Amino acid sequence: MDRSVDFGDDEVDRYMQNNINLNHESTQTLRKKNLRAFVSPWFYRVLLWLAPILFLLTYFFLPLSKILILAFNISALTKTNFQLILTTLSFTFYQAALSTVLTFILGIPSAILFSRFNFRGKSLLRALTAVPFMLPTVVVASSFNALFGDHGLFSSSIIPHPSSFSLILSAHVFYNTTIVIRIVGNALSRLDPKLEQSARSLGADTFHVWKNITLPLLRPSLLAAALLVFMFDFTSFGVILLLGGSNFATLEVEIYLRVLKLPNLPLAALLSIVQLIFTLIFSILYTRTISQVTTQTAPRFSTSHAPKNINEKIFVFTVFCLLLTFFLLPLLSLPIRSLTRLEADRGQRGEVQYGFTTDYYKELFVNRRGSLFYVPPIQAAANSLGYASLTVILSLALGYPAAYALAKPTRLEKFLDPLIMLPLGASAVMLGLGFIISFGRSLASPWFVPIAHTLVALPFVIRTLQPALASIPERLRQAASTLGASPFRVWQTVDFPILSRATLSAATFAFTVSLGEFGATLLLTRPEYPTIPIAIQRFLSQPGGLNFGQAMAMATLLMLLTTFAILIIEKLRLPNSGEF
Amino acid sequence: MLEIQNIFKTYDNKPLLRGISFSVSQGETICLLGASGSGKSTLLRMIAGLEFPESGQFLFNQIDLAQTPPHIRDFGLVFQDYGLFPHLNIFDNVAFGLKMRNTSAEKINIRVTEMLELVNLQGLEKRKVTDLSGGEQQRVALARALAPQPRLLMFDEPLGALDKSLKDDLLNQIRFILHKTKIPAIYVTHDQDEAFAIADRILLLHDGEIIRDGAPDEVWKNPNSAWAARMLGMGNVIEGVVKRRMNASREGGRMNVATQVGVFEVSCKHKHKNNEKVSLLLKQSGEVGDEIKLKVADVLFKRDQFEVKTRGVALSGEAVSKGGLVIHLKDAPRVGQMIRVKVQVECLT
Repeated sequence: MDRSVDFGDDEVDRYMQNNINLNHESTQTLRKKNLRAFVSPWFYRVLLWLAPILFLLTYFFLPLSKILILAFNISALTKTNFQLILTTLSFTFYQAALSTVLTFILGIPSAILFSRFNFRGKSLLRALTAVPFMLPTVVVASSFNALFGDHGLFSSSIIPHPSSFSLILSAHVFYNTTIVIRIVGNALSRLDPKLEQSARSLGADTFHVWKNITLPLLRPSLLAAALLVFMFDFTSFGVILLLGGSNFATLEVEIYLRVLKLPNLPLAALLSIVQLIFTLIFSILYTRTISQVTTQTAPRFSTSHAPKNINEKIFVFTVFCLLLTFFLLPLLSLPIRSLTRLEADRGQRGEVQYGFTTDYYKELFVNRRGSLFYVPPIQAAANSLGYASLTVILSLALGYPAAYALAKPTRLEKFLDPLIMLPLGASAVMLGLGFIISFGRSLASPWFVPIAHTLVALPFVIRTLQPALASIPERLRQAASTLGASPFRVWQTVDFPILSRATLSAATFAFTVSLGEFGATLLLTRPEYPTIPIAIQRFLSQPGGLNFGQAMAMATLLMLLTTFAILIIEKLRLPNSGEF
Repeated sequence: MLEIQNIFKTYDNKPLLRGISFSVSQGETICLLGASGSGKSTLLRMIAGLEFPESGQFLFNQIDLAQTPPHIRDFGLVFQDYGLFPHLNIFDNVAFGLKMRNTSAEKINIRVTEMLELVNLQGLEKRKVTDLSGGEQQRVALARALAPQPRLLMFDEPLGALDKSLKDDLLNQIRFILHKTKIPAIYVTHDQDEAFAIADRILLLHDGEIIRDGAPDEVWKNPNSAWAARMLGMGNVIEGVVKRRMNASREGGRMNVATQVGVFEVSCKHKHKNNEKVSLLLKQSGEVGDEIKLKVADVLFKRDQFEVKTRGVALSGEAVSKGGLVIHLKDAPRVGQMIRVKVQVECLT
């Protein structure tokens, strides 16, 4: 008898039923999985974004809106105000353009030097040119003061005393040249040497090779470097205030003056909006051009070589010496000046000991009656370190979740990304102004200084953490888990080693930003809680050799602290984590 | 036309080229064949004037080129990775050399159109070069080098970056163009198939010297050295030791050579002492020649036949570890099986 006949109707039914049950179960688990796949990531993402967004809303977007409201108040929109804005704007443009041109005059030969030639001490010289960019502006200003300022090492010598304006310009060249060296130099060394060789063999002489091949291919990088340098010069504050005083009113300095010296908050607000618009335009243009730079292909072999003929040797030697002098002299003159007495202190009687002295450092620990502070000046260093530590904690706590979300961007992140980077476009002085308008009465709290520093540091912290988080290939985690690592072991052996470097690097970055921050702190800090940059500014604004000497000593301390931090960052830098 | 005299060049303090001399005459295509890193490309760049030798001379029509900068030399150069100008479109790339010679716009138009027709790229003038495939980019590079009617064309592994079918296509095109234009050419490659397909004369570059210079068929018939035979992929090259019988004639001629796969009687060009090492070329032959015994080590299927890797078998019957041959058979033997093959043996030294 055939078995199939045995299958009664009920049996078929049961079979069908089973099948349906199975199907039902599987759709249920599927639905659960779908829920997990579609709903909860969004929930997690919102959770990740909660703290950073709340922070930015309260401390950036709220102050920004207050500034906007104040700026478009009828009392601000007067004819005299527009006149003032126009003159300030044109001077700001003038000095920024002049600084940019000068930076290129030094920067282009340097870029050629570093990208085309090999010579002894190349990497050291390259590092030296990069140091000023990372030094706080107060230190740069103090260095040029120590060298050529009224009380500087060369003040009494035969050399004609350089004007404040030329000091400002040289300080700008001093810390921006490295931008040209990096962006243009990298583009130059990425140029395929075969292109030039092809052009040569097709009948182009050296001039035509530059005009028709090299320059057109370098154009995006030249433009990007120029935009970035111009943007930094446009918003320069510390250098101009400390070297030029209020005689040289750029937008940034004028905002500061209209907040603290000649109070006119609506005008200050209007000025900062004008400045914000320009920095935003520049940064959008910069982002566009720099994206064209990075798409060029990498070379197959090195394009740099030892100088061959006499012309090349002269070029390398000249630029080498020029760079060495220009970058080493200000950096050295600061510690030297801080240990040298050149003039009598105020009220000092009797024989004055000129030459080597450690008095300026000793004085930092003395709480003199009638001194600038109510505390020993070294207290400023303690304050700075405290603020810096708070900034590190705050910016890491806010930066980590944001970086995690940005490492795997969805549409939400594409929308939020430019918003978190927006504080970069706002100048420090503008942040200070916003705080004053928004939180006027509660500003007595010393908390606002680290909060302002966090606003400045946060974009950098996120940009340091994000590539590290994104760079961990999923394949590494998969490999580790197929080799038997538990999720925790995966995190411990794969994520952590990569993240610890980036975290330390980001933390150091936040620390240095806070140590050197000048613009916002100047507006927000209370007299009894000065930071190192504020102390330097106050010392410099007072007459007398002792005050100048103490400024030099303080600046030297800040320089050493920052240099130490820079060394840590350089050691920890992830390869290919981008330029600037 | 072009004479290259006794060129010496060092690279990283090591001698790269040690006295290179040869000449290229009108309409001739010279192929420089050598392993990578042998200095072929450096030699080309020196001829183009982009690098300089430590000593030696380049003469073109009896005129020394030492003082002539590259852009006056009028030598075209085609690179392996094209070297097209990424910021210029196809037309401007091809027109570049003409513009450098201040040719009128009208003439440039005619010439560029002509060149693009020659390399089968007509109508693509306005395209970006970065949008083209590798083969198309190389054809643009060829058109660009040809456009100013150079006195000499140089190719630096022009087909190295292309895949097989494109290679054959473009190789034929280059051959056709060179024959048509009668421009003398130096073609550098490490691929012997390319070299034999395109060259009127082949130069083998080894250890900084030219060890063989001749027409393709001559070179193939008489590689003259173990390295050349291996480079040209001619067959099995093995080492052996001269074992002269006591009563053998004292003249060169025939001598006995002992190898890992047996003792052969061969005639060498040069005289060799007893126990001197020589290299032998073993060509697999059908019926004539010496019979050798081999043990099959590995069998690979290759198109219409089997490539069999073998070990030589010593007189004692044991397979030796070194000195195996690669032979080709119609039917696949088993691994470990003993087989007998007939070979023709030539002395290479």
